[in-house]
Amino acid sequence: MTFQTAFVALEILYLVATLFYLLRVLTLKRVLAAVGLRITMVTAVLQAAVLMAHFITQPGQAFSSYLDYFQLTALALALVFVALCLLRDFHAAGPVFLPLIVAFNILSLTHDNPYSFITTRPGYGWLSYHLASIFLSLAAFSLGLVSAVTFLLLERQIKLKRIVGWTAKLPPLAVIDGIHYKSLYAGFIFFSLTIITGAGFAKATTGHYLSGDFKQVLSILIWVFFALLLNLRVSQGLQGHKGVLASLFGFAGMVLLFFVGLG
Amino acid sequence: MSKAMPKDAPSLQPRPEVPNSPNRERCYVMVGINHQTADVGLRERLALNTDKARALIAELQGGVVDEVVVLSTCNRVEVYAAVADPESSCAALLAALIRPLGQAGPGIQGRFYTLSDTAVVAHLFAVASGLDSMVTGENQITGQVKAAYELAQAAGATGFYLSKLFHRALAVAKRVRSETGIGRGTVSVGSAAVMLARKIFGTLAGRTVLLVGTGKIGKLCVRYLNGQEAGRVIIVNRTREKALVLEQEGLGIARPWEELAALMREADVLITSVEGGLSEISPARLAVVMQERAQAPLFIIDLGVPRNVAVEVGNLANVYLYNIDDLKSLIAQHRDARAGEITQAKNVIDEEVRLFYEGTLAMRAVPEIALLGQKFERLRKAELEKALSRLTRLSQAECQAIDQLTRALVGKILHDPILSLKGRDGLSEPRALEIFKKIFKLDDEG
Repeated sequence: MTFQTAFVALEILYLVATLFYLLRVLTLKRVLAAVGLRITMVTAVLQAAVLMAHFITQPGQAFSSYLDYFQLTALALALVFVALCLLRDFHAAGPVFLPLIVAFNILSLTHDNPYSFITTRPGYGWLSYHLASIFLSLAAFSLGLVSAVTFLLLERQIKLKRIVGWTAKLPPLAVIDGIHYKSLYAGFIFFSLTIITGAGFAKATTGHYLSGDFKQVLSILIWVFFALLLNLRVSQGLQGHKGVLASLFGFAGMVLLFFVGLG
Repeated sequence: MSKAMPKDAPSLQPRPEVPNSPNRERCYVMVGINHQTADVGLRERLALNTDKARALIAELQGGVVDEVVVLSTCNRVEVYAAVADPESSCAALLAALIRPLGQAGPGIQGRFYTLSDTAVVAHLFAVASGLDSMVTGENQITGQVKAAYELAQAAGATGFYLSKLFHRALAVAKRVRSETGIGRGTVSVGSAAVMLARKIFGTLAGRTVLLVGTGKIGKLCVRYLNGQEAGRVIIVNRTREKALVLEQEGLGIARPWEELAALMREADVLITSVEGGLSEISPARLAVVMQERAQAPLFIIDLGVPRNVAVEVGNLANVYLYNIDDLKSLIAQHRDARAGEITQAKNVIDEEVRLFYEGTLAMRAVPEIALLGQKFERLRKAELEKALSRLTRLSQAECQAIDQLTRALVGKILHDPILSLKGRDGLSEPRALEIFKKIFKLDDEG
């Protein structure tokens, strides 16, 4: 069995888990979420094993293609999701998290372009750190996005006085808010590393830290935005609706940046 | 009122002569009233506190019943017993229960229901699981059933039959709660307030509750929140003396009305229960307060009729406003949601009653199984001795092999009859046991 086949099999397993979570939303049966979580856990373990084997069989080539990074992002998301379910009983994140994991897996299968042509160039070291931090920040911000959307949905239901069915099973607003800001802190740290390593890579390849292209300007704008938001959280105790709503603008910027970078 | 046992319900009548059991046949009976058959006034007159329940147990134990448990809560008074003669025992139990009513007793006999055998098992399982409660699914009853059993146990009034029944009932209650959503949701204004506060803040530890006014429902809500270990409770009232009374009751700390605006900056949960509107909690003023408290979430429970807080306050960010009608509507939503779980819970109970019945069938056949084993072992030994006395040239090993062979043969022959005795092949009629005893002449063995 080739690695490509193994990754496709993993993707199918994640799809099955997604199906269980979507069915859980429709039927409100807890057992479906429990089955979906178990499938996710098993798949994450298998994915870690397959990735390890993939790296071992390609000495010196690990983290040299988008496949590696997308797979790692999907795995990181799966692990965070499992932790959220086990520690916070946050099963409601499933219908959002699992499609994200599936999406990253699909991207990994469609972007299996080796970067070996870069390995001979001077900035390769910077590039590998740059790519790793990009995908880690993406994983953290994805969690932030999921928790932000969940927060807004739950808050709306509370305001509308409808706390039954799926709403009753969600974690409290304060817990979701906490997860949201923790993921923003983590995402911000990785995003800062992304900018630093990106600048290092630019210096090594072009001789300049900044070239003023759209991607760099957008990155810095997003960084400043999150820096201000988190500063408000630390200094003013920002919490709840407004902070969550504001973070959505940052996430939108991240999505735009991701596709600009991918291009 | 008397509930008749279903015609097709099998008779339990667990048979004795098993370890830790008495030596006579017993069956389960139950006599009682509950919230469906008697109003609160009658239930109050019949209610038994611990001392009275203990006295009733002592009185009944010396009479017609061998084992007895008295369950007395605000919604029911029931006596469960294991007896030899169901008819006379039920009459005695009923007489003992209505005795406190004196002359009025006989007139209300029709309010009592009497159950026997499987119907008792099904009823107790439903009671312990909260299915027979006034608020379906409430979990207090499980603890009350356990306490009733422990009281009887301490009085030496429980034995093999009731111990088995009550242990199983408590296990069934646990299963029903874990496998169905019967216990989920909120059923009172107080618990609705707690549920909402938990939905917003997660834990109430360290949170500040501000009670404005001293209305009855407001106090009830605060008691519920205190039960959830709310950090501190502050009571403010226009007439400070009333707030001080609540402080003396240990409900919270009384503060002057003039401090209300300042206290609103500290509160996480604000409960209002005053007559007329509260100008201090207008949308404009609260918007300023929210800025001053850095948009920290504020949960407002408006229990006033007419409402104390303007509806527009609920539109402010991080402010969650619920009035008394909202809470009642929430309770109704949860009741509807629970209704779907009731069928599932009933299915669990039906299955457990069947399992309990099958277990009892197996249990009642134990003496016959023992007698059958003894008879066949005696026959085997006698025939083996005869055969070995003729086969004098056999070695020790060969003798042992023949011994093993006969043992194995007896085991194989008895396997199916024993399964039949345990009722696993549908041979569950009590008459089958009698036929079985006649076929194998087990009475002669006994």
